[in-house]
Amino acid sequence: MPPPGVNAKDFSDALKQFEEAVGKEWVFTSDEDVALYRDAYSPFWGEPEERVASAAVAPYTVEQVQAVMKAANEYKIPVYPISTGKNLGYGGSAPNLSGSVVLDLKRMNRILDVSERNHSALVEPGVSYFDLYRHIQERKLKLWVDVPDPGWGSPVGNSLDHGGGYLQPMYRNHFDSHCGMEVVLANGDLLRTGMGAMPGAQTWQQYKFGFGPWIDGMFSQSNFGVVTKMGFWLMPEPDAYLTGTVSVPKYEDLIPMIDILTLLENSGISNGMPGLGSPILGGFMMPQRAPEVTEMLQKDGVESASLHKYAQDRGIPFWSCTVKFYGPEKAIRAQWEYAQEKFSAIPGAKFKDDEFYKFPLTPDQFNKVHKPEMGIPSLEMFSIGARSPYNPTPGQGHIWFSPIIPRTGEAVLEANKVFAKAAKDFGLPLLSFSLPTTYWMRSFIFLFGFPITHDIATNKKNRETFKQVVRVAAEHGWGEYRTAPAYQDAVMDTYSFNNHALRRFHETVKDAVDPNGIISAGRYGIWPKHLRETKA
Amino acid sequence: MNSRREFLQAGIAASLLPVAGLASGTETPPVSFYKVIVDQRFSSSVEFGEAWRARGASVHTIRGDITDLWFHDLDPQWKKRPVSIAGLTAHGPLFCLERLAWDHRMRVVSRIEQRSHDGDGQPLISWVIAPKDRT
Repeated sequence: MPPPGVNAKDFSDALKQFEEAVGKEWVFTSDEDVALYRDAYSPFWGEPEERVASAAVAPYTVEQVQAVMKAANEYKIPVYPISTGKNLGYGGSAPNLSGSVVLDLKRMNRILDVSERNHSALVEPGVSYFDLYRHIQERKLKLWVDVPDPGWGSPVGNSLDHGGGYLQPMYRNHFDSHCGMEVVLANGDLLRTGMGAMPGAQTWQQYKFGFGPWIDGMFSQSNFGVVTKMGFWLMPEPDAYLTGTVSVPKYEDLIPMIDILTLLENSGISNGMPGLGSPILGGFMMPQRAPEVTEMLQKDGVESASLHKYAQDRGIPFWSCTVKFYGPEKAIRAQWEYAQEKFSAIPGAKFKDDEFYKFPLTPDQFNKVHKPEMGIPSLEMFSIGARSPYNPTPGQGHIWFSPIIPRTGEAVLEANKVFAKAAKDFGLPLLSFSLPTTYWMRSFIFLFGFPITHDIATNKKNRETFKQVVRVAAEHGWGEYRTAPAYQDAVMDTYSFNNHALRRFHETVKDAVDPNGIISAGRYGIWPKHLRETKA
Repeated sequence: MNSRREFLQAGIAASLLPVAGLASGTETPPVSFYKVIVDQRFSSSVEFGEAWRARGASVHTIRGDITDLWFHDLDPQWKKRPVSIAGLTAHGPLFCLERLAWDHRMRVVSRIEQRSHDGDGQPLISWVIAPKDRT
């Protein structure tokens, strides 16, 4: 089936040119092969609207990518580049526009450089986190890769989609930690950013900005080019790792607790990804919630005076925060001591020493730790039973709703109120209270998994609800940081300042750098000119 | 990256029966797999592994998480040469292995739900992953 707007002959001719470029065996057109590019967690699973590819092509070199793009541009074939395509929960390897040809870059899996002195790497899109980790381990380099969880994707794909990890803040934000990229444009032209624009540059992975406007961000969450190389800064292996938990007694203590945590992080005192918790409310990594607490929550919510009294009477802290440190043992013990001094400003704050490891880990320690916090890719997440009233069919997947909220206690409490009301209004299973994740230094992300089922009516309802929740968040000034193709238009609609000036700018750029609109049509709400009106 | 022509031509059809049959107690002929994967959390999976071990198979035991199996064994092996594996596991490990196998030009060629269940009440699955022709 040709892509939309492409006749059968042109499609056939383009496929022939793809075959000439990459070899016949690396152009996939059979239903069986193309089906591998379906989004396993598609919210349109089994419906006519499910976004599916028409074919796939897997180049091995940059020159092959250029040849494919030239042919695609000539025949106006929509292509959808993927690196390893394991971005489940945010779209996987399926295109925004059905009928696109997936440009599968998995075979471009060369690790071009790893520098132990500069703590950096230069990789192709098909290099997975496992590949890079193996490369470093085999050479016994004192370097850590900041990995997402699960860790089977690629540094290039994950960072271009604004993914995050678990190490020090400057590595945890994967796009922030990149340094230099190489991009094939829609017409097959080849571009290098930053210092890479200078032939023979000695500092491509050392200085990000080069000369003139810094354009790297335009190739993330976008469709302006095909990234074929990317540099990354890696974390030097620390001497040691230490975690400690502070717990505070009262509901209102969340506000100063987060303020102090933010100060510690922004000052560089605490440098691991902190974990927020609530011993009274329970939840992930917390004691099980008492049934009477659930009753109080259901009756009056988290602001329930009887709940606050219940916690105080029993001496159960309302909130906790695990603070994490990487560095030399003497330094991080001093940092933890200093952190305790700061948190002691909250009356009743208590402290507990948790983990302490020196590196390299012993085998026992290796088996025990949360591996991403040690820069070790893992798939353990898939073995954790996730069935719950909120997601009765975890095997069929989920879609993340992930708004960015301010990094304050007030915002956490307000967001919970807003989303609890939205859940009630839209008939979602009620989450009594949810604490945000802490990937970024200056903001929080709320992460809610919307279940995917193989029941069409349920998926339809969930899709509508998802869009409604996106709107509710936007009404409060909270925007999604990333979303699956099914919702990218809806989210981009909420970034509407000055009559959608940002989207209009994106479209202006799109029309200039990809006038035939062949790259990832619709990705992150950026549609090429010829599809804009029909998609409106 | 392996050539698309590197696939198991013979024995796949035959290999399906033993896995399915074994799980239901049928006597089966010996079939060669690079590894048979079992999950020690489930007794039926452990029994499955014991039966295959008795037939000379190399059995790898997991506890839900396939990371170690993948990183230390299958990934290096499949980069050299794709070889068939079989298992009786919950959905999660198979879900991961299937997607990782795709990257090595392999497919799940048999997938049979069993009577036994995982901790979530979902049926365990016996399966075979093998290199496969796509013509």
